[in-house]
Amino acid sequence: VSTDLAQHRVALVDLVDRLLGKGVVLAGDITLAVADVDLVRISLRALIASVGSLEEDRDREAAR
Amino acid sequence: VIHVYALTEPAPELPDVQGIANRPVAQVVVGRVAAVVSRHANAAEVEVSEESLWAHEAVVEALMADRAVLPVRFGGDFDEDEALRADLEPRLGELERDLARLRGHVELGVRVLVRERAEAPASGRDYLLGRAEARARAGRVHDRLAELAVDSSVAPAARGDFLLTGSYLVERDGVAAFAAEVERLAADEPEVELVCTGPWPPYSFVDPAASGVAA
Repeated sequence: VSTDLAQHRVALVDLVDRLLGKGVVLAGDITLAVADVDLVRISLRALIASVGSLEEDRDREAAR
Repeated sequence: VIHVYALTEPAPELPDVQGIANRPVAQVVVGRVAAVVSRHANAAEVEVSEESLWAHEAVVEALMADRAVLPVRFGGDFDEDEALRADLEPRLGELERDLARLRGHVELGVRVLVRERAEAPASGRDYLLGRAEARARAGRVHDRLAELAVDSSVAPAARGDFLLTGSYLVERDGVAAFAAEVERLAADEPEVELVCTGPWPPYSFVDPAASGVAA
């Protein structure tokens, strides 16, 4: 179970890294307010951080 | 607002997929490049969110299934077709070359994570030794996977407990062999955890000269 959890979260982190940080940049990109990106990064930060604390999830799963 | 998902080659049909906010997708053809877009009356629809990011990805993946794609960074939005055309026209040559180069290739992501030990390290020295060893294992994982890949790129700094954040460009036919190698490496290196994601569109391998980054 914890591995699936890790996979899901890593997939989300990978998605954010790629879609917001890579790929072809179009001039229209400048219309994307930097603040919007920051907001997403903040809202996803908990998920990113928790990839590093999989042990906690594992413990929680084990406790069920 | 015109939201752009990917650049590809003009084709008679688009895959059966909906865009962000369930909007239909369409092509804006400029020379031998087609921008796949959706049109939104309300700019709020294309704001960044987990949902809109996955919707963007779903369109690019559907395109990737049967044609060469250059994935566009989320946020490539325009007010009108003319502005989009004006942006693409000066770099059509580079874009066409990049489509040809990436045809038939996909990207795989591999992260190596620290697997925590059952017991805490006895000392700070043990902790540091453990980290160094784990980093060396991650380096071995990368070296092996890079051999299998056409190209690879590694995120400059390890973030948090990621010992390696690698992206690997592989031929579509090579995905199964690559995944099998990840499994083998995971078995060989039980001290670290490997997570492989993909196949992704080749976000990490678009040519900077064509991608607009260098412009």
